[in-house]
Order: sequence, then structure tokens, then C-alpha cells
Amino acid sequence: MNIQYKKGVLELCVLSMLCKSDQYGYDISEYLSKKIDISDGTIYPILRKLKSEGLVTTYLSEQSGGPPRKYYRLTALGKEEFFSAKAEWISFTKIIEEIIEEEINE
Amino acid sequence: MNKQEYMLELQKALKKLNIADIDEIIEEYEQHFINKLADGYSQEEITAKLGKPQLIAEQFAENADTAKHPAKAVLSIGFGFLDIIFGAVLILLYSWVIVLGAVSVASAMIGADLIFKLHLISYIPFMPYPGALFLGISFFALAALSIVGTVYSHLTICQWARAFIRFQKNVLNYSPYPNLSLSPNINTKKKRLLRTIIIISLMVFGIAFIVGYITLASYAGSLEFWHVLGWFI
Repeated sequence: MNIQYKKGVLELCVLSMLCKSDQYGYDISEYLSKKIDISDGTIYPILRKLKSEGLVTTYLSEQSGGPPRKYYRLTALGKEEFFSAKAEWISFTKIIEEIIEEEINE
Repeated sequence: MNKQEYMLELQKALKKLNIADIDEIIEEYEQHFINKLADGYSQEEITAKLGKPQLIAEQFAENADTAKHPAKAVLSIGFGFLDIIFGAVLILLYSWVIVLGAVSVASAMIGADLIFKLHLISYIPFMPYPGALFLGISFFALAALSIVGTVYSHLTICQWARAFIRFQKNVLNYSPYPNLSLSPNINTKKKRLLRTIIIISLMVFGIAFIVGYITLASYAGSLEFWHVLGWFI
């Protein structure tokens, strides 16, 4: 898959995961890099960008037998952004699908 | 590449691109190594899967275009001072709303006292009736006008506060929200209603005041009827 495609979508995927529950950075990276063919390091810049945009916040959570983990949580703004980005994505892919299908049929 | 080499290279690349809070980023990748190692991967496997340090650093740089701002701390402090000043100014301005509100209440009370001959307010000097009725009506109109003024000023000042907060947020966080306008957003229907109230009460005020004046003047037989009626003594 084209890398440019992925970049835009990854943000949406991260927001979606965080919408369900707070996540540890590593878990997000692992989950997405297993599903989508990206290098492991790609998610961290995205998380940082989301944080600087105020869509997510971080907090440290103590772990038994290990250093505290940095968890990411969606802010109210992030939730808003997720729902609008999700709707946009769905309507966008629908249109693309239609266009592609048309071409095949002709 | 082993972990140490990778981290060193990443740190160098980040520094070169002038990324803020490098320690935080390094910490995140440290954690990544810890977890991956615990899952049984070798350092070489981990670094290979992470992607080239240079590319990673570039991604941070790309995303930081809008987010990173060296003057952010200075801006925050500046806004802190500005907040205090602007807050004080808003409170000062809001006293206008309170005064206007008081004017509305007082006008309405005087109007009611005059129209219904209540004689509850002892400060109101003697006034024969039809004249008192007209002046009372004009006071009521004045009350309506100042109520509109009170509501509008209240909305405007609240809007200013909101617009200022939004502006600050936008400057500091580069949030995607547009700045707010300084005039309160009242919908057209309400705007029309307010305008109608203003026009009608202005007209009522003018007419009732003039009629009241004429009535009182003819009653007293003098243009300066207040002398005849014994006011201000």
C-alpha cells in the first residue's frame, strides 16, 4: 500500500483506538503495525502530533516491576475530531468505491 | 544496528532537526525497546522494524511544523499578564451592565408609581394626574430601552471574553478553530425583535415625554411647571 495513503489514515486509526480506551503508546504501535504494513517507529510521531494539537493527553501509570508507562487519553476535542474525521473518511471511501466500481463495469 | 547505536543516531537526527522535548521522544523509544525485548526480540530485529532513525526524526519534524513554537513559553507568560489586565477590564465593563440593569429597574418602578398613583416612592415630587400618567409611560419606555441595553451589553461582554479565550487557545495550541467575532451572535429573529423594541420604546418615550410635558405645563400655566408645582425646594 502507498505510504502516503497510510499516513493520513493512521491518525484516524489512533484516534479510533483511543476512543475505545486509554492506551499505552507501545500497545498502539504494536496493534497497528501488525495490522498495517508500517515500520514500528511510525506511530510515535503521530501520537506526539495529536498531543500537540490537543487531541490527546498523556498520563503516567505506575507498573508493578517496571518503569511507569505513559498512557494516552483522548480529550473532548479529540473525540470531536475523531467523529468528524470518521464520518469524512466513510463518505470519502464510499465515493472512491463508486468511482472504482464504475471503471471496472465499463 | 544495536539499541545504543540506534538511539544515538535518533537523538542526533532529532537534534539536527531542532525538535523540541527530545528527552520525551527518546523515552518513548526506550519504552519500545524494553517491551520488545521482553517479548523476545533481539536488538537488531527491533531496530530493523523501527525504521531508519533519520526517517523517524523527519516525521517528528514534519508533524512539528505547526506544533513546535520556540516562543510558546514566552507567549504563555505574556498571555498570563494579558489575562489579568483583560479580566480586570471585563469586570470594569461589566459594571456598566449592572448600572444599566439598575436603571431599568428604577425606571420601571418610577413608571409604575406614577401610572398607578402608588405614591410608594417618596422622592417623586407631586404631579397631577394626566401628566403623571404620560411621564410614567415614558419611564416605562425608558425601562424597556435600558433592558435591551443591559441584555445586549451582557451578551457583548460575554462574547468578548469568549473570543479572547479562543484567540489565546488558537495562538498557543494552533487549534483548528476559527477566531470568534466580537459582536454577540444573536439570531436574526431575536435581532429584529430587539430592534423593534428599541424603535417602539424610543417613540413611546419621546411622545409620552412631550405630551406629559405639555400637559403639566398647561396645568401649571408655565413652561417651567416645576417651579409652580413646588419641586426642588
